[in-house]
Amino acid sequence: MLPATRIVELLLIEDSAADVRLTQEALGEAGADVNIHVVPDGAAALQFLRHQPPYVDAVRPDLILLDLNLPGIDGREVLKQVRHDKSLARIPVLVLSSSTAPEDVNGAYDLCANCYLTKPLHFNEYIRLFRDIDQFWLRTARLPERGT
Amino acid sequence: MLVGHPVDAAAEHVLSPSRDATLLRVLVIDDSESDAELILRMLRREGWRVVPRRIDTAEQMRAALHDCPWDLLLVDYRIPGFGAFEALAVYKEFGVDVPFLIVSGSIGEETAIKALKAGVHDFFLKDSMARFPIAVRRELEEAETRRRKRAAEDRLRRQADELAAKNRELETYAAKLRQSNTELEHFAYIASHDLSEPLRSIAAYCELLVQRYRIGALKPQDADEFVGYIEQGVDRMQNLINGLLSYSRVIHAEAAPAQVAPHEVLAGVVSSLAKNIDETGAVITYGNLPVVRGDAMQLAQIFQNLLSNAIKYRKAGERPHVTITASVRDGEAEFLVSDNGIGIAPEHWERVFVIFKRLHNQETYPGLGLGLSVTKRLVERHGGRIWVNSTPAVGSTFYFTLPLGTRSHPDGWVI
Repeated sequence: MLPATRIVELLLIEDSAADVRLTQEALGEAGADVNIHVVPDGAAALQFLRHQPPYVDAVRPDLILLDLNLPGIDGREVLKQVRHDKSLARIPVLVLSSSTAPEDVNGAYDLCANCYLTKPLHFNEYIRLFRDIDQFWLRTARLPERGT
Repeated sequence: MLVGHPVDAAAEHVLSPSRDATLLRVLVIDDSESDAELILRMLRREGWRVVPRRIDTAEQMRAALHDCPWDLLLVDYRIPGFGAFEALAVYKEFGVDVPFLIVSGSIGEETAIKALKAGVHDFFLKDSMARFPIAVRRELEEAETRRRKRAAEDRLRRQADELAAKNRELETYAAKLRQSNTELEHFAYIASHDLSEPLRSIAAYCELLVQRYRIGALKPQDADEFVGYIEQGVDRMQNLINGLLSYSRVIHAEAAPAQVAPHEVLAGVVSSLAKNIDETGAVITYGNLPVVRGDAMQLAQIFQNLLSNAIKYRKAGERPHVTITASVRDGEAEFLVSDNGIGIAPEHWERVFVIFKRLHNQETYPGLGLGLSVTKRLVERHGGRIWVNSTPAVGSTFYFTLPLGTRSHPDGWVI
């Protein structure tokens, strides 16, 4: 187990304020050492990642948590654009979705998501999910260097 | 005697063969009365009750064929002014199938062959009529066989046509059923999918609340926030369920088609949106609109959805202006509902009509994402189409067509 050498910048792309709060609580209970940045939809996510207004001073995230079901620009489109952009392509993207449909799972991996996670029903499971994310992505896996 | 087959009742309609098997209606085309009498006597000797008519011109032949049915045509080959081939031509004009026999003084072999090829059934020389009676009997039987065969073929053809028509009907119903099933599956998937989201939120926050409370770590402002999210989830489920119910009701609603005046419908819609219009300072403009064939209440729903969207998705700080116009084309009325709102990007023009697909989040523009999918169903039930054209930050125009005048709808509203 490798100690995290710095605080991880996490970009959470999620339109539901309820789910945002749940994620924050669960990450807190899991003891993850992260700065959580939240954007409410796909358009804002791309602006954040490209340092476009109103996110001109945004930090480059180490890890992205992406809800597939977003209003306007769909989560899949965001994933596609991130993977197409050389300066963003390396950032690990964890897809979060309430759908278990094979088309959705396969589709996400086809677009090169790093993994597909299903939003659980119970809060305890939420905590366990984020504990697992923290354990694997923040303490076991090595994250790439932030690009420019 | 003629073979006495019971005549099939259904075969009778093709021609009217004499019911009495001994009755023989003979049309003799011969300019010599005595020659004709000789032949008729031969037939009577065989046992037939002969009912003759003798003619010798084309007009008389036409009159005779027109007047009544005949069982036998006997034609003298050479009548001045009206030969056997001319008689054959008249015979063919009438399209009957009666034994056509040539009885002649002399006939060359080539002519005879030509005659047979042209459709004459048999020919006889007046001085060698030995086989004449047998030949007549044979020709009558064969004519009867042909009649029966034609009748049977007609019956078969009619049955085949009926079957084909029934098959087409079945295929139409099958197609409708398939479509209905697909929609039902789609609907069920969407309903369960979109309902489980708020349910998850409710479940998770209940658990979080209880957990924190039990260990005494529940801060009041957190409690308020968590309960707020639970209430939001409950509201959302409630709204979704109501929305789905009304959507389903719309799809299956019986509608009474009638002549509907859109401007009357609009007046009602505008007054029901009075509060919205007042609050936003909206300006709704419409002029002459063509009368359409449809259901007044459903047309009201269509306008209500489009107008309330136009008002809702307005540019911040600007009065929404909505204009309704129409043009007539190809028996259809094409309506335009134009606004000066926030607009819709081209990549979303089709998505907006899909149930529950929204372009904006709940905080900025609350809503279920049902309105346009319901509107689309209503327009399509009328046999029309709906589409949108828009420029983001400038405005949108929704187009939909409705039938004018007499046109029947696929659902069977016969007008």
